[in-house]
Amino acid sequence: MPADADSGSGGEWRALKRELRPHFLDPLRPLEEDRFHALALAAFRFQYLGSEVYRRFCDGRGATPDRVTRWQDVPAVPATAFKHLDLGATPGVPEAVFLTSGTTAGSGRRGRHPVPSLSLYRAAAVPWFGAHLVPEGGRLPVLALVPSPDRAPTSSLSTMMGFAIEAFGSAASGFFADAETGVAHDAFQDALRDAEHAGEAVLVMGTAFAWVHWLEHATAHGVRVRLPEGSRLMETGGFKGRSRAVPRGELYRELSARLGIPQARMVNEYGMTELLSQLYEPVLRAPGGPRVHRAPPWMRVRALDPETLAPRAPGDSGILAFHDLANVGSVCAVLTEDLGSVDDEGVHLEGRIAGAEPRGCSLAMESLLGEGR
Amino acid sequence: MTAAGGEGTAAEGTVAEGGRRPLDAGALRSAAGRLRAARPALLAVPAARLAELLGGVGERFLDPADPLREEALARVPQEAGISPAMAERVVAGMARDWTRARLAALLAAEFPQPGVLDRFTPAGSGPPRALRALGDALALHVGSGSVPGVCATSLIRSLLVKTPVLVKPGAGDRALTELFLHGLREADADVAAAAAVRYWPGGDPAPLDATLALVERVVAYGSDATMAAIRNRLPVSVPLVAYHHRSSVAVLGPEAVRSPALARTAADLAFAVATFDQRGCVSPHRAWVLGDREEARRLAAATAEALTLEAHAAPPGPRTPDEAARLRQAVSGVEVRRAAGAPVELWGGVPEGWAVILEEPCRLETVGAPRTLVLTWAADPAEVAAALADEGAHLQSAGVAGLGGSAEAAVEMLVRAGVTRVAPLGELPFPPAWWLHDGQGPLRALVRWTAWEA
Repeated sequence: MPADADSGSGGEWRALKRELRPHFLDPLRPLEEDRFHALALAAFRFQYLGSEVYRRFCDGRGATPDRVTRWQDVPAVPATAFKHLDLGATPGVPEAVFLTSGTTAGSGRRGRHPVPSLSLYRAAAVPWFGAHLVPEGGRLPVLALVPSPDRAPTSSLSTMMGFAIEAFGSAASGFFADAETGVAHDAFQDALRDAEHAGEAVLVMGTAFAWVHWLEHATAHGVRVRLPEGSRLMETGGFKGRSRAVPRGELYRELSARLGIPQARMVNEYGMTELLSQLYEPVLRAPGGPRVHRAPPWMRVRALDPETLAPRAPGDSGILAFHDLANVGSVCAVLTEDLGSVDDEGVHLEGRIAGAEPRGCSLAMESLLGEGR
Repeated sequence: MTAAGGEGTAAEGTVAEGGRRPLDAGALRSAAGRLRAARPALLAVPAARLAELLGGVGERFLDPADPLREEALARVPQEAGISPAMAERVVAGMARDWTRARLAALLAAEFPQPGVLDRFTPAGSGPPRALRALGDALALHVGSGSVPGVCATSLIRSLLVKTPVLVKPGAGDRALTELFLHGLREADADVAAAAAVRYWPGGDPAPLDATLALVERVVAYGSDATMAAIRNRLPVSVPLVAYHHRSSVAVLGPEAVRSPALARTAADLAFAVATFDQRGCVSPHRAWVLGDREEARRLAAATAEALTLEAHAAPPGPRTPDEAARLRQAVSGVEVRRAAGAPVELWGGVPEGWAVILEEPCRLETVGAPRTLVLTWAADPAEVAAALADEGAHLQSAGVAGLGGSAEAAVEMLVRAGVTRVAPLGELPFPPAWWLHDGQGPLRALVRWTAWEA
């Protein structure tokens, strides 16, 4: 039975989608606190009733829809719960199930995020993406260093980039990586050269790890282009569980030197499989502003004291908790392992925890080459 | 008493902090030159005498009245982020292997031919030839962690094989490294001239790059990413002794989890988990009971009790935010899975500062929070080995107890899974000086052999 089937909760599900979609499609319009609050509590009620797992978790905390009167009190599931449990809240079969990437060698299980409606995911992803990567509108060549959604249907990132190419990409757009063979260096180089000769601004995007691989190749083969003015780059993801990490400043410097895109036109995206909304740096939308991450209006971000889960004061560091209404089909309240602070400017990320490596005599808490002390 | 970071006077200080002159390539080159110049004097000292000399310094860290130990206990807690009681345990445990007797035993274990570090020595059995083991003109030892004593041990190893050494300790491992060198300087300035300790904070690859160009061998302790970065920066002719990311486990036989052995097993397991606040590569993060769920549950409960006692005897140090976040994830994860009906159980939690998680038999994931043990059961050692099958490159120690008559077969399976050290559970945190560190001889990894054929 499809997720949108006409049943009791199916009706509620459709009603929630109807209410949310206009907000998703107009991402620069603020979502007033009262409205967010009402939607969050409606989503909580739906998820509480729709997911037996989540209901029992909430019951264990005494947090039922009758008792929870503030969205801040909606119980947040840890991101790791997606590794172990089916947290889908809708009836029927989800349209997609996104899987998290592996982390440290040997750490096993991947998280699963059931997505009942890809069209709702698209609605949440595309306009917000456009506001930050193509704020002037129109179409341009979009070159993605990720596998295509056809090749990686369980990747939320590939799916999102697929939506972006559909919405903003010209005919010269494409995917230039494969999960098994990695970056398609020759094809990507041809596409870069074509863009350079055509004189038309492009958008290039990929994971930090893919960019590092491309840079190694570009350095070894002397690849250097000067992409047309107006070009921009999106970089996402960290180096979680990877064998090589590069400080972000160094990565951007090298990318700028190889691609001819000014660092001021490089946008970091923060996203995770467990959340269907993304955060972006508004460097194209508001040039010259601070490099912080902005969440869409239908998402609230809090930094919490890791010991007590009490909210931190603005600007104080804590673990990041998200309330993402785009997650209406699973669980909106997600507690991550990521550290950061929140203030009026946005979300200040402090890096992701590197897999499950404990610090120690031969372990993480790098003080040598990393971002660390 | 204050021990400076450099080998010279305070005026020569080169650590990039405290108002001293910043560390730069020129300062590093000067230090390297001085270290190289100290080699002839170092080579002239018999290895056995070096063991005595270094052991004499090491023993000072075991003497409650010695100011060197006092300063170590004053500095280590804050620097390494551990409690004073844990610092006492760690200093005592590390210094146990820095004594004259232990270092002499280390030399004997590593080089059965006495004197081979001093001169050509008949090889004994085998083909007719004489052997010589020689250290390098200069080595760099790099630590990047927070376990105190790792880099002091590394410094000792280098001097034992008569290699002048520049040591860059991890941020949490400076005190013991610097203090050991300070003590050595007091004992024998000529030998001490062959060692220097230089610390620089992370984020700036320049000091490392400058140093890598000056040395003939590198010993590094760090994450896989750090090892890869160093390897990429090294000339092909410079060997890298890489102590990369490792994790340790415990495997307990049925005899260990039944009365009267249960309490001892739980205490040993809690000791191994709590020591270093579980930040050592020798710290077990996962444990298997060879038996059934009830036996595993019994051990989990007993270990939880023992961790409570440990928290009083040697309280946990402050958690870093990322460690607290990991523990929070683990605890909340158990909560939500229990809600889903999963038979996972939890003792302890965030307020307690420790946790024991009883899982169904499956691939156990390391939580990565201090004093957090994930425990399960297995029908036989083969199941444990299968669970560890993908982790061979990152496995290190296995603490064992109560394996009884099946010990040999069980250990063989662990070895095939990748374990390089098998030890009694209670000995897990402090391997003896002569342990095969990550599967290789700790001194033999530092020398070049020459054969003089007959």
